[in-house]
Amino acid sequence: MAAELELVASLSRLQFATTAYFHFLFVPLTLGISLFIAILMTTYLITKKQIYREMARFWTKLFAINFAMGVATGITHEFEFGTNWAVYSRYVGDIFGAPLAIEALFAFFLESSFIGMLVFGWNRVNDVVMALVAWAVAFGTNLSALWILIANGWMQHPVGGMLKVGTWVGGIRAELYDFSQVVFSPVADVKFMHTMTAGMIVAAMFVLGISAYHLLRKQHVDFFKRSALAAAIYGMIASVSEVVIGDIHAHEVAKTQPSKLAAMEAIVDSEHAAPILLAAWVTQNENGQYEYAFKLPLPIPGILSFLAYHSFGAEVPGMNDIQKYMEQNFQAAMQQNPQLADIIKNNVMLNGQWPSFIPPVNIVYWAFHIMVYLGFLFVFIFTVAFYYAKKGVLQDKSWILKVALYSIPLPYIASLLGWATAEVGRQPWVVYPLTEVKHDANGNIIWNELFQQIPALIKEGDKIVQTHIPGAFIGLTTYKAVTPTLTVLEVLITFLGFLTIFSVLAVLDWWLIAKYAKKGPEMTGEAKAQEAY
Amino acid sequence: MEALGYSPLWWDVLVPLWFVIVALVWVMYILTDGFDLGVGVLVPFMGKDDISRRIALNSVGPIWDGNEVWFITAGGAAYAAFPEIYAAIFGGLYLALMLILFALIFRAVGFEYRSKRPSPTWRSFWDWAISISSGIVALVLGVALGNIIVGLPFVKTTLVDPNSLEGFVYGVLDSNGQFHPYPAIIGFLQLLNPFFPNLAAGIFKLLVGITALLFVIMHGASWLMVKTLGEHFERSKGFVLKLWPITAALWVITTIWGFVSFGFTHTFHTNNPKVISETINIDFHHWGAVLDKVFTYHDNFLFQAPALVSIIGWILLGLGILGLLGVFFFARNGSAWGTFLSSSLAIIGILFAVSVALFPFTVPSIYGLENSMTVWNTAASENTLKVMTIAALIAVPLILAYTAYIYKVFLFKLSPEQLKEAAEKGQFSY
Repeated sequence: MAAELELVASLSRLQFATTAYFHFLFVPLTLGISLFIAILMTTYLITKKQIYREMARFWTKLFAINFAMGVATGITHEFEFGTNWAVYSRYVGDIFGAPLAIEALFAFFLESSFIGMLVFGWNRVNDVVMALVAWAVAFGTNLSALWILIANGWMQHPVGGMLKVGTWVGGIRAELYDFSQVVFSPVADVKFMHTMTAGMIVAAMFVLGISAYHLLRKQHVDFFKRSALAAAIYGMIASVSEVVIGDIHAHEVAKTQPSKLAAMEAIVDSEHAAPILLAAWVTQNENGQYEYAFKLPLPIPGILSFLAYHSFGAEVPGMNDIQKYMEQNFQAAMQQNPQLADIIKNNVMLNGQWPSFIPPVNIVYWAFHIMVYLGFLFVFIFTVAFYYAKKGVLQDKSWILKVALYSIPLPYIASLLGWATAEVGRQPWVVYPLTEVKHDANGNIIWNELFQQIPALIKEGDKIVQTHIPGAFIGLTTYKAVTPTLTVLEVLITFLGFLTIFSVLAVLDWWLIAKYAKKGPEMTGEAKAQEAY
Repeated sequence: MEALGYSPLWWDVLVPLWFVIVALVWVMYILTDGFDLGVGVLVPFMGKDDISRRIALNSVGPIWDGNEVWFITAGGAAYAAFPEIYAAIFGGLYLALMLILFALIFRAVGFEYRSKRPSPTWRSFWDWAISISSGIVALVLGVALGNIIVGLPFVKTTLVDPNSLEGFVYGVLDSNGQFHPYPAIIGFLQLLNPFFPNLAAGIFKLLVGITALLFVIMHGASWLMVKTLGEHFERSKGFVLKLWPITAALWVITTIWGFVSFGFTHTFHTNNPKVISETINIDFHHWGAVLDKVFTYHDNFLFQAPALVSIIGWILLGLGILGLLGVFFFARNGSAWGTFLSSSLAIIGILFAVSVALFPFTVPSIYGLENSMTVWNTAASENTLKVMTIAALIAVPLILAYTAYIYKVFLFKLSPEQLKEAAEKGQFSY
């Protein structure tokens, strides 16, 4: 039974990753382009130039085709937590459910209600209302992302919760202790900034690339010159901000998820003044110790230590130490709280053994590094495009137009790699134990204080005792979180179903987007006159 | 205790409140997405010509997306307020929910893609895809409701192992008290099995599914009456009048049968107030004891539910019947709004009456009261319910306000002339 459940869990992970990836092929464009359209409509209202309205309408048409797939793939997710991860859902639903419900109430409703109006409302209501509708959609989509990332941030760093043992119907669950800690968790908030900016980059490259397609063919030159300039400005702001935000994000990961950081940077052994590795491959020897197959460090020491812990000499945790000290910290927690030891045996141990606390290193390392390298490429493309667009000669520089056109998929790839870093890097945990990496005055990691304290209510006999316990107890591994009654056949059917349907629909979707993108705008007489001018 | 913000009094009030709110969100879903599901089913039946089908599609074009969000919200609200139910139902009834999700996916892209190519084969394919997938959603939800009324095979694992993380799980409890999950897709087939848990209950739950499907189609037809003119109006009216006799008959049969035979005590047939109150009073606090006295259990022919609640239930049931009759009379007189509002009233009445009849149970188990889900043994903590209450108090009025505004903007009648005129004005239609 145990082996089958592990297979079910693996298949469920594969299914969740597949549906999440399909969803995130459509979400980032929605995030970025809804804001872009709102800005265009506002520009139209201020300048009274008809062409901005035409631009807003044209990009809305492409946005709407994209949005249908975003909704279709998104509906799946609200329920997939329950269908495949029922144990997870009931264990943390008291905390994790609230941001999801609030997302639906405040954000998803707003965007979904007004998207219909953004598509159907043109020439039915006046343009000021349409601009407000565009802002409502942009606000709704981005607010939606915020609440989803608050939920995700909580899985990575479960602050604001407490553990309740035996006080309910029997059984154990995490309960909400302080909602403001969940909402204002620095991990969650920086994740949101990171994702929102990524969406802006996706949208900017999408608009720039499609504009480049038409400029290369000398069609609707004025229309797409303006679109390209707007996209270049938008993309430049976003890509430069992303470098800064990405750095803050990595710093938060270093503080709260040492195993993810070790995998992202391929740190095998803990090191003071650690350098950055430009390329690396890690293997495990027969004793289970991690070692390098090869590595290419940047020959400046301390850069990684500085980026991770804002100090050039700080010790950066390595995989071999993390495995060793995580086990020690768990054992210490169990010894201090013997009446709760079964919780860790149930939620963490696999067949009575400690699992590997290190995620699949090479996947995480390369996903992270390719994403970072792409991020710098985007800064370059947008800056060059902006320079030429500002000088008014972009339409003659066919090399950068071609680069922009063929770069349309790259921000999508970077976004997906970012999610791979975050979620594969979270393994083996579905709820990461509440951790904080602390250094002493000499920059050494204080290894025996990995876990932060969490509040707990424990029933002992007839009494309910209020206490604090180590964050170790809130951790839950992915393999223990799966729905207990699922069978391999059931998950296999739905996984192949999702894979097939989403693949077909995604191809269809992009084919339609490409068709309408190539067709270009159908402009009204007034806008045509302006373009001719 | 105070330090952890735990005051039983609040929790005792918030839990029933959230039962009402979650029920309300589900009813809103059936009410709003109900008519666009119904319209979806009717798309290919509106006529063989493209323009008739486009009229059906455009009658819900700008609003179906917002309507569908009620489903997401219903899922989210259940997750936050009753995490045990969310985990048990969606995990246990895995394939049933997946079927609904696949159908919703097809519908969503069908609406968007159909108009993007002029080819009749392309359009006809999406018309049928929309119709069949809309029908599947209504049918599966109806069967699920039927199953909940007769009880589902759920077992509470913490009864066996207090450290269990599994909560309520779906499967077989054998005579030795051992639990076994259903092998592969058998669990899904049990939902449709007319012999499970016994022949009467099995037929009943399938009848509920068929009634729900027919009612949703009729509800959709009544929306089409609101949105159409001329021959399309007559056709929509014809749908309502043709569907009404069989739908109403099934409605009456399932309602009376459901409340008389099943109620929340279904297979146990115990009206012993002590047994019931001990079961629901798990972790019930001092204030709960007061509530318990108000909600005295007694032997009630229709509801077998608390006295106070049963009066509300009777009123709701009365409203449902009024709505059902109204559908027929208003449709015959050609009053579109009368028909649609009556149909809505019938949905509100019957679904709330069922919720009230179930209260305090949410998902009864065929394995007995101790394995059943009630509002009390599945609810979220007081902190979460407080946060959610504040969120709902702010969000729901906003949602209702802008939804009403959007409906108002798109409340014009559709006809072939109107669609042509709209295209000339540069307005978008499917």
